[in-house]
Amino acid sequence: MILAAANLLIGLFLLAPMIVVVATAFTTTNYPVFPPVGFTFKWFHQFLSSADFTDAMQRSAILATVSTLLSTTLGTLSALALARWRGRGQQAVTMFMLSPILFPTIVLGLALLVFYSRVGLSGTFIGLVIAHSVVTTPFVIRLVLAGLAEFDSSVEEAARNLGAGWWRTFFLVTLPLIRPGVLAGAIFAFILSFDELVITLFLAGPGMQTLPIRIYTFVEYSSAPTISAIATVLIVAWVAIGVPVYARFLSIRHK
Amino acid sequence: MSDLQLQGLRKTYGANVAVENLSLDVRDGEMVAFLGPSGCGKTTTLRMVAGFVAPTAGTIRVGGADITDLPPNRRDMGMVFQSYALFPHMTVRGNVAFGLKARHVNASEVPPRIADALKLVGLSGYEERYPRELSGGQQQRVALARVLALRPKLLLFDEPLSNLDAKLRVQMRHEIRSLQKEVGITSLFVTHDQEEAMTIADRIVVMNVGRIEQAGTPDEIYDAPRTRFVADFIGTANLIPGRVADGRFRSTRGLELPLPDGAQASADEIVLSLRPEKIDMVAPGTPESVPATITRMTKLGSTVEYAVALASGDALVVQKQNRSDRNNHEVGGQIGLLWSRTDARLLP
Repeated sequence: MILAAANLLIGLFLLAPMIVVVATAFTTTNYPVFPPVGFTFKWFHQFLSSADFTDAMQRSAILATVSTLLSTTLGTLSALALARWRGRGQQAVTMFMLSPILFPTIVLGLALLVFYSRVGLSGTFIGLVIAHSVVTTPFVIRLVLAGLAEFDSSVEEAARNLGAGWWRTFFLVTLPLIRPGVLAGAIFAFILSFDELVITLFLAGPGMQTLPIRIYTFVEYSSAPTISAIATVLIVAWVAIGVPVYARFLSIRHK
Repeated sequence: MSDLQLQGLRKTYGANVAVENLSLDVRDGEMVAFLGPSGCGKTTTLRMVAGFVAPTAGTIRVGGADITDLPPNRRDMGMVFQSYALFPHMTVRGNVAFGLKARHVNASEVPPRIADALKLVGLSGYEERYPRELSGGQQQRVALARVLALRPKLLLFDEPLSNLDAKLRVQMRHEIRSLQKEVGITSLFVTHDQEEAMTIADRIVVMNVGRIEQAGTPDEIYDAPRTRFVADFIGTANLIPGRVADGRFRSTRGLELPLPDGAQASADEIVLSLRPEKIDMVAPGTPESVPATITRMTKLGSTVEYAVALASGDALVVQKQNRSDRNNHEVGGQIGLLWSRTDARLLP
């Protein structure tokens, strides 16, 4: 009873900002107010008809997709190696691989900026992909490692024994069994990358505005509820795409 | 022909020696059990044969061909694991089909071979089930079908029954044994359960600290152990330390006994080994019997175990069938002990 009440309270607490943001997206005033005044779709229209915003959103989506592919691949392989490592150093290397999580992104951004200007990656798309992957890979490693904790490696040996080579074993046995962790990692990586502002501010070249940067620069000089409309679109997109994917693939249906 | 030859097999991990200079010939169609306490190297040996562990030295030959350096997927062996190691995301059919597909068996041949293998283990009709929908015994049968479908040169069993409950374990022993005889595939069976080894194997290899202590038929291992480790590990044995002097056995505590048949005189310290069930309890004073006092009696169900003390202070354990008409021995009672000289053995 108490727990249920606590859950309800926490739920409301988490939901409140979202409700406010969604509501303010429909206000007729020129600034976000809650409760909204009147009802209009004009802020949505303004968002979707402004090439500035839609380009930035597209760029962010591409960037997040590419860096998710990279960090999910690297993170999964790294987690597999760490989980199999018997003996000295495993703990230390695991901590090291996870350390970017603990790093303030502003420090990471600065460090990457200095490094990139030496190797000629600053202001490039690939530079952003790498930077985002540095931030997201540790999360993938963490989530895949968690999934591997209950992975019985004798199924891999069984597959090898039954005549499967390395690739067949990986794609038909290992990967399907660690899929929940990998997908959780990928979703996490995508959201982090799509949302990343600080490092991107350091590294993005001219004409490479991502959606967070665009929003950031927008709110610097304007208080129009357009950003509420953008936020609403993102929330709806997450509920429509993210939640079903989450529910479908993250439940461990076998075992 | 798929006989197996292990020659000078050795595996070390840093300074730790897991398996030391192990050589063994397994005949075509033979079932050999590796028996020993945990850490004796039996599982490491099996894993070297399977290809999961690379030997530090030595060669493995199957049917004369050296396979020491082949990867596990090219060894044509079927392994049954302790944890069953079924693929949880595949049906029974998918599990059995996996190896057939991996080995590129003709597509038209796959369904009949799945059906045959499942019929062999008594699981026809379970094709569409998932492993989680099966009991432990059924899961292990699927694991068995999965390797039998491949008709491998060698079957490897890695303590396959230890996760099953006691009754089922006993039943599965006999099933595996008769299946193995039926298909006639050369097999290695790793276990720490001596009864299992005795039931299942043509030959038992007793291992201890990385070495073979003794290899022989179950009867040989039980009745003619060659070392005190084997005598003690297989069943129970009374081990009395002593020396041979003047044609008699003299225990460290001063007990004098006639030498067992065929015993060689030796100046080294040795033990006399005597199985508890081979000792007869007779009336005190019976000729040639050794006088003793009963110090403890424990009923173990089908047998009764007596602890007896000899005049020298040596203690022995004697086991008798729990039959009502024989239950006339009381704690504190005086008795005589008698055994056949062929049943006692001197061991280094």
